[in-house]
Amino acid sequence: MNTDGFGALLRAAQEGDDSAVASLYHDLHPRLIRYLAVREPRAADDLEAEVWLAVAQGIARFEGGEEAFRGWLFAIARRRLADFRRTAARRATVPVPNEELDGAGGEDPADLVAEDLTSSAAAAFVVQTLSPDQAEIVLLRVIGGLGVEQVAELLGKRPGTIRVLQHRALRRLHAELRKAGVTR
Amino acid sequence: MTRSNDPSDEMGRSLSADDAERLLNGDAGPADMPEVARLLATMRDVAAEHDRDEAATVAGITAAIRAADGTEPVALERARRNRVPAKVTVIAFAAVVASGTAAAAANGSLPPSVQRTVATTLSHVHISVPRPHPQPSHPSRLPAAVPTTNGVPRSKPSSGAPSDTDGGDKGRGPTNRKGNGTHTGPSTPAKGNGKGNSTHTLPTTPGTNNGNGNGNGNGKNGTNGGSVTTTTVVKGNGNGNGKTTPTTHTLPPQSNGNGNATQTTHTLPPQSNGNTTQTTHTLPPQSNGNGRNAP
Repeated sequence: MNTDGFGALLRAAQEGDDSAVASLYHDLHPRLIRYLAVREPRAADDLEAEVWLAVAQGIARFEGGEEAFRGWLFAIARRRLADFRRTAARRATVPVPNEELDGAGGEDPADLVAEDLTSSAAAAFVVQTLSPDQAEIVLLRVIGGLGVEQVAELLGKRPGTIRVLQHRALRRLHAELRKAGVTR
Repeated sequence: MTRSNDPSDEMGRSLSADDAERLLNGDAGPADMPEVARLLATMRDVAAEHDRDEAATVAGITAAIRAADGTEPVALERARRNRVPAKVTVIAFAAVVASGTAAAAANGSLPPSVQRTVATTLSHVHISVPRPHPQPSHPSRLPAAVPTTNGVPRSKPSSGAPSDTDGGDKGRGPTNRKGNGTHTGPSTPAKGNGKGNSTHTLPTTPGTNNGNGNGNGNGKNGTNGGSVTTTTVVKGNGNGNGKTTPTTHTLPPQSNGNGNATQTTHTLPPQSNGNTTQTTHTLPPQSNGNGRNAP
């Protein structure tokens, strides 16, 4: 979407136009829910609802382009995620379904050979393989579609640091995949 | 070099920043890292994540946007919040009038009939103001109301025992006092070079001494430094070096705090220790705090 197109879409959404809101949601929901599902699988839906509610409450004051809007969306998502985790940390226990416990070991890199590898499985592999910072950068860049500058702003790091971390992340992924025999 | 003869992973190590950027952007990645490109492409494929209830969700978001848009501007909302109700204004005005009357009554400057009425009225709320007297019981060479402290005057009417050092006086010698307060009534002028808040009301008759002070200073009251007498209600926060010049009053000073209080002539001992009530006359002076009370 070009800049003018997004600007018009944003203005319409700010005025409460149904189709404009639907367009924004249709474009951003998949990225957002994927990111949240990777980060907090059991609460992704609730967290996403909170994010969109915050967007609805603040969109009238938002100014910026499409990329900035995505950055804003993921900034809200990260805050909600942090709030959720802070609250969850105070709980004594968190109930986990048995089926999730069965698959708690994460994705086997060998499974990545399969053609039907899902997006969630790939993201889970990234999170499991990389350090937290590296995984977050890859998720925000690949799933969120954010640029280096935006990721740097979100994570409170310098763009150069982000570039270094993402470079190391890719090399690490490359090494792990090679080790697992995924050579296609 | 091929992958099969690259056990040390030179290809992965030679990944350039541009290559990494292209991989993450979903552009054509380096040919030697197809597995990473595929992994990232799979992650990026979010087509299956579309919400089945998208219509309902969008309707909810739209409603929330409209609801948020319909709220009042923040400035207006804040102005409404800060608006003072008329009732509060009336109460504040009444309080100002009442306090002004009380101050005048504390000075004894009201007409006798009014003074008597006010004194009676205020006595119901445990505030003592001097009742009108045709002649002062102790001739004073001083004006009726002499501010003895510097600062914001606050007066609390009282009647009774003299006290001038409650609260604000703590200290050395007949020096100065600086403070916030009002010193009203037939009293000696105090030269202040201290700090503090004190309220003094000097009645002509001994009686209640209600002090509520927080003194911190050096003061000396008494013969050498002066004698503050006929002060009955002292309320204040004093902090300073006090000096009070002697007068013809015969009530002992009160010292509260760290100071020296010198008292020479006594007929009515004051008490000042926060809230005190003086009822007995011709008692020796009392000193509270680290003071010296030299009769």
